Amino acid sequence: MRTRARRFWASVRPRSRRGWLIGTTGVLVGAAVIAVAIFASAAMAWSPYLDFALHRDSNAKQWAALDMSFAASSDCVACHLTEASRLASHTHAGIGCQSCHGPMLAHEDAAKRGITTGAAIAMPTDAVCIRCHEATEGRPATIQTIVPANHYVSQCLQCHDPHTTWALHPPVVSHPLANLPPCLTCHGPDGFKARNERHPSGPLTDNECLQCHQAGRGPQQLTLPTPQPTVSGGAVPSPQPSPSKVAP
Amino acid sequence: MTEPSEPLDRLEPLDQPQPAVGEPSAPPAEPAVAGATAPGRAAATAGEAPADAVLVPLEAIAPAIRQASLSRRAFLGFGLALAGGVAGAAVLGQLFPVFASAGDQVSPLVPNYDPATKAWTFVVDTSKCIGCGLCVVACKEENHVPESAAFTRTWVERHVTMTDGTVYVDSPDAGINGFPPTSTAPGAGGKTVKSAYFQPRLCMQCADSPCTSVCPVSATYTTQDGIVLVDARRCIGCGYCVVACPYGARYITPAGEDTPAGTPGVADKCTWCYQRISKGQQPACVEICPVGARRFGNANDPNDDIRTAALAAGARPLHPEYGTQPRALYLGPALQES
Amino acid sequence: MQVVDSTLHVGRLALPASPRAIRAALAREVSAMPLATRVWYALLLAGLAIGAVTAILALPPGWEVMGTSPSIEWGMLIVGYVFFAIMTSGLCLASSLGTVFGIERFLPLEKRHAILAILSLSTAFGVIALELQYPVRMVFGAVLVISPSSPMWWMGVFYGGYLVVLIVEVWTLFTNHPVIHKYACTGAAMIGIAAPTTLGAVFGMVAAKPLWAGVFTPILMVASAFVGGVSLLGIVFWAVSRFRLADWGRSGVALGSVRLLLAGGLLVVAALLARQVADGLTSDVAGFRPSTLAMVAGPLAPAFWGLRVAAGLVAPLAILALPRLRTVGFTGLASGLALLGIFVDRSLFVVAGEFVPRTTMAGTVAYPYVAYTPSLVEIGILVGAASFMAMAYSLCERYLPMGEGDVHLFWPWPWLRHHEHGEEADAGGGAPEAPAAAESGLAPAAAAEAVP
Repeated sequence: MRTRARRFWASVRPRSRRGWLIGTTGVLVGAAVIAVAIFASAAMAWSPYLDFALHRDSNAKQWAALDMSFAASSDCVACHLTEASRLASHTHAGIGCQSCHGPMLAHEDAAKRGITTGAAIAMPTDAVCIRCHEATEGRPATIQTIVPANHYVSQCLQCHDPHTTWALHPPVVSHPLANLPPCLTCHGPDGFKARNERHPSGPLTDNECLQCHQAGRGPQQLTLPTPQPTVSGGAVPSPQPSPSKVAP
Repeated sequence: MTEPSEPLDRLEPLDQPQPAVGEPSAPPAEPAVAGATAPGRAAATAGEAPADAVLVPLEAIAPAIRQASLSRRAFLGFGLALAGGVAGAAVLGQLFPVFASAGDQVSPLVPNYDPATKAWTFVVDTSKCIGCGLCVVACKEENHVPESAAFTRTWVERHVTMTDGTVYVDSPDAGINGFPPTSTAPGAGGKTVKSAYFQPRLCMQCADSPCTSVCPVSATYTTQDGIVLVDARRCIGCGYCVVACPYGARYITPAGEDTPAGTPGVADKCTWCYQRISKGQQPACVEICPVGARRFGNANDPNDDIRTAALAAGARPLHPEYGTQPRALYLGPALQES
Repeated sequence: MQVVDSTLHVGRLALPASPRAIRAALAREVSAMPLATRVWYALLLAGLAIGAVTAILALPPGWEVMGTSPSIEWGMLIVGYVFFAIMTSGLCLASSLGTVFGIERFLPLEKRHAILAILSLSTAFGVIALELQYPVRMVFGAVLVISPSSPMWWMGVFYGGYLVVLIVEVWTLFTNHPVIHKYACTGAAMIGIAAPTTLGAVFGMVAAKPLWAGVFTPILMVASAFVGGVSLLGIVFWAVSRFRLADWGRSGVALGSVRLLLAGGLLVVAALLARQVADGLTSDVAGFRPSTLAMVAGPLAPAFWGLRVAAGLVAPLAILALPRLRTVGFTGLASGLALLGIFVDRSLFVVAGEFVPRTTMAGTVAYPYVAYTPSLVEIGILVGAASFMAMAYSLCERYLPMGEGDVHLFWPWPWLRHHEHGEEADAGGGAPEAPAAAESGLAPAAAAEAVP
């Protein structure tokens, strides 16, 4: 063993003073470079105090520090007391404001800083109402649903106030309906009693008019929420019978 | 490469087996060197060489000797430098204490947030879900999840059971636009529906999660409060966790405007809105759910209604047979099917 | 080391050192090739070009150039990696019969075993690097952070060590270090079993994919590895014999061994495959039966019965069994079919495992089957990988001394050494083209000797 070691050393030992110098310097410099490299990479990997660390806590911190967009729903009440109290007394009670109005953290931050301009609230479109209130397989029977094709759906908010869920009262037709020309003859744009701007502007059939304006339509029906039997049964809801032109 | 003009007598003979040139049949274990041109050194080694050594002129094997000496020196030098480097790194580690030790109080993730006291629990009530898909919208908005429906952290499925017993599952665009009136699953049309329900899905944050155990670079891990997170700086995007997750909760982030961790090509998954829950907020999908089908709370807190309202009601994990111990629990018809 | 007349002289090797000299040397090489060789290299170059273009497309992380989705996250590139990786192990297992267990008839042409093994492992690493989104991080992450719970980490350990051992093996083989070589061969044979076992465990420990899960997956992986390696040897030995390359006289003996090993391996693989299908069809584990049905009776059935069973198992077994077909050409054909079968087998295994997901994957319901078509990029990368391996092997065959035992002097860089000792004797049975092939390398004898 010792002989082998001596032979090995004899075969590699530097042959001159210059060789010693070069060899020693090379080994020392190499050791220093390797030491710094190992230390730096280990520090990068495991030091929790360095930003670029692969340390877990530093990563969890990054996840925890991400920006939010949704505020806490309970915060809305602080300013919007009126709307909140209206909402609280009706069937939409308990639904967070942001469900319909979208993320509100930016709005809340702006309001807290006293900025009122630009803190606009997104107004929900029909699509938001339809998401929940369209008759759909699998939807629990506790949800009041409609079949959009059979409902006057162009603008839900024209008739319904989602904060109360009451529908506005469409006037019930007071004059007799039998033996009359089409509704738009008198209530069209050129008629003597034109419809107001809440109505769709296009041509309408009489049946479409009567969906809202026949006797018995309006809030009375909504106060008696009869769940659609077709939904709980899971079958496709059958089309509602088209309203007769004859008032009941 | 050494210069060929280097005088040969500056080389030491080697004990390395040197088969003689032109004599391939020479026993390879015999040292085949001699010092005809370097008498002094030959005398030093002659005593150790076996008597029947085949002697060849030193010139003939000079390149080999030179090369062997060089590579030995390189080997020795590198070994010394490496050993010195390791020792030096250890010394540096002592001089600059940048490493956390067990006694160190690592700075808290968020001020006033103590993850050790939390046992976050998510309860999904499938009897309440109406399939509006607002949770999917909120998740994409809150977490910058890619727009494409193929990459979703949370989604809603509709399970429709027909009268003939077959179950059809559909999730058009992951439910982000809500659901059409009837199932879009191929083959479901024309059959009579017996029952149907919606099943919101998200990462189950399993206590014994396959995704963390299979990760080859430990990029995904479980935090102290039980959330499974992905370190986007460490993930290599191999997709093993995507394949291994029995709940299909993961995807590889595509490049694009929305990348949750700001890094494309890494695994991503639901974090239960870690940025929110660590600040005392509810996850965005819980915040937005209009019917309270999603609930979230700390099961360690005796005042949290997650204990009374959900856990006491018998919430259980989906597919417990995977044995991953999910922290997300389910109520309602999903349990019967699972 | 000196430069004379645009020629770099390193030791006794003369390398062209100026663009013009390189062009001239290349032209000399090309003009010396027969037409068929030129066509072969041109085809390989075209495949390499396709591979290079598609590889560049696959490099940026997150670009959706693959046909994969969260539902079928592992596609053809994983298949390619598995294919090349297990082939490496198969080559080592086959060659270990000669080098480790000392069975004489398996000893010939071990240089080709070793070269092929190291090339196919490099190819596998190249393919997996393109499949990974951040391959460079893997080195950092897997070395600095040990993850012993991950089968993939162990696979990395074994295949990484494998590469080191193979380099040592090839190095010592060409530099004639018999002792180190023997240890390296033993190590390679041991890792040759351990590495595909861990590769099988990568799939076998995924409980979410019932077709993959189970203890038989690593066993099937090792058996497939063996068949893959042996059939590649069969193809190469056929080529050696057909084109009378160096040492071709011995390939006759080697082909006999290949026939024996191939038949045995195919029988084992067939038994394991039958067990897998039978198990899947009778299992009540959720999702197992649908996956198996998708393979044997669903959309994957044509590939399964046509390519996997008929072409990949039955046909080669029939060829090997018929005494009349025990020729070099038919052995090569059987090897090629078996290799195709192994590739199709691994593709079906990987794809069918994910084909019927047990759940919604990241919000996508796949019903009844996942849509997966390999993209052009995936196919291009596989073409490039195969071309790379064939190209590298062809160059090795042309420029490295593939004959046996022609290195007797300790000299660590054999390609820098002029062939002067007895390669004529080693050229094997008076093959007329072998010395020409060996000497037409980058070190023409005349050029080297003209320099003092």
